[in-house]
Amino acid sequence: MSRLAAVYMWDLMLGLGNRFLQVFALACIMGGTAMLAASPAPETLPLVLIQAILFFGSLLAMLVGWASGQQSRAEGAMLFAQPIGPGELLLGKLLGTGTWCLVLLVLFMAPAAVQAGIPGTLAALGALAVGLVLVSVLGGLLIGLLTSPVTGLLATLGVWILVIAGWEIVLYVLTETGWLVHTPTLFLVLLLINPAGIFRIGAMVGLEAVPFDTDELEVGRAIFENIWLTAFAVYALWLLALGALGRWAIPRQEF
Amino acid sequence: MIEARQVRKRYGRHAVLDGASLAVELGQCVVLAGDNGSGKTTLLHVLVGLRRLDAGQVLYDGRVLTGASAGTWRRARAAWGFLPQQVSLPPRARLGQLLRFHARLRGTGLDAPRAWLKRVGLADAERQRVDALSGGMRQRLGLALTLFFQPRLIVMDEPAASLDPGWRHELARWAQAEARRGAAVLVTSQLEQDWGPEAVHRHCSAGRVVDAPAGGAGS
Repeated sequence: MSRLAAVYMWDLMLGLGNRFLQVFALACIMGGTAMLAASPAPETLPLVLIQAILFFGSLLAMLVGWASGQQSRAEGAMLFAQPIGPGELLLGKLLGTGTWCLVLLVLFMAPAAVQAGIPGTLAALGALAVGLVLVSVLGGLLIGLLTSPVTGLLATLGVWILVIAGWEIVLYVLTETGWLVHTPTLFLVLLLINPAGIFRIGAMVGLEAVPFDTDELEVGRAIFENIWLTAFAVYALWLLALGALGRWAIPRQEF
Repeated sequence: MIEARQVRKRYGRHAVLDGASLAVELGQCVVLAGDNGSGKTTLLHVLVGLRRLDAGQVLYDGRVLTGASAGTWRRARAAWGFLPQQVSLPPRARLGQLLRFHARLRGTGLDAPRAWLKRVGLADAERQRVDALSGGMRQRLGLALTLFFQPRLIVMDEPAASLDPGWRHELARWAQAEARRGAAVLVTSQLEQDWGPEAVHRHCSAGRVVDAPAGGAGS
């Protein structure tokens, strides 16, 4: 426990020197302030926030995670010869870097919530955003820990594009070619297993603005009736899967 | 105490270690010399688990560590101090923050690392950032972080390389004192004569470890 606390405190301190975190902070403060100044209507505000968090929040969270992983990788033997288990390293760093990201998420969303006077709706959106940001941070962190700087940065951007757009394009192509037409439940599962997909759909269901009809789908209806549980399960699954990957891969690194 | 048995390691077609064996016992200070590229650093990294070996075994207290779980390595490392050839520390971190991090990792208070910071001549530098230190000062900081918790096994890769003669002499004295305390000490060094008559000298050549050649400083 003391080692986990040590890694957490160490990562909190290193976060102050994380360039992407500094950019993230600036973007969140400026974005939050802009939302205050623009005073969008309460019914459009959540839609603006969804897009901002989906595209910029996920990208910056991945880059912040990648930079945090790179910081540890740069310490090399000085860090990896210490008595820290791979799980402790990952969890400590996720909590440390994640803490900063969550503080910035609050800074970004709180002014808009107060201004628009709809904190309840935005709290639900915020909960989904926490899941998306944590999964993005952990994904970036793993890439940063396991790859060289240039490869890692390219991989981070590649994964982000896949998560944000690529996955849905693949699903669209599969649907158009007839592969998924007769298995709508499989389509729905593949759509929602994507961290960005569950954020987008979950937020829209929360706002009662879901863009398609689910009345015909038995499983689909159950999923949408329990969208928060589904979102929690998807994010928990991703965090566990990425954590397991890290625990397997980190001890296989060479320094 | 710690032992490498018939270790083989290749990088592509190049065999860096070709059946290297080395043992270090408690109370012993072993100095491993050898030309550049002879495999000294790779052998040390294999011993402390930073590199995977292609064949052979690493044993610690008679137990095989090769292929052991991450938890087994972590428990073993709790009693080890390792100083790599390049002391890579976050440039913006302050020395005091580094001390706190390492003290928390080792479950000690701050008194021991502060005492060692004083021994390496950096007592007044606790508020300084790592990027403000010279190469020699960074090396001395690395020594303090490696030695402050009285490790059972001390492994140091070219620890004297960027130190001036005065600090090299001090380092050799500390290494001997640690061995007398009962620790197992393993260092690589091109400067064999610095480590005194009590040190056991070994030589790394063509991926194997042999006794120091006749006429060497240790003989």
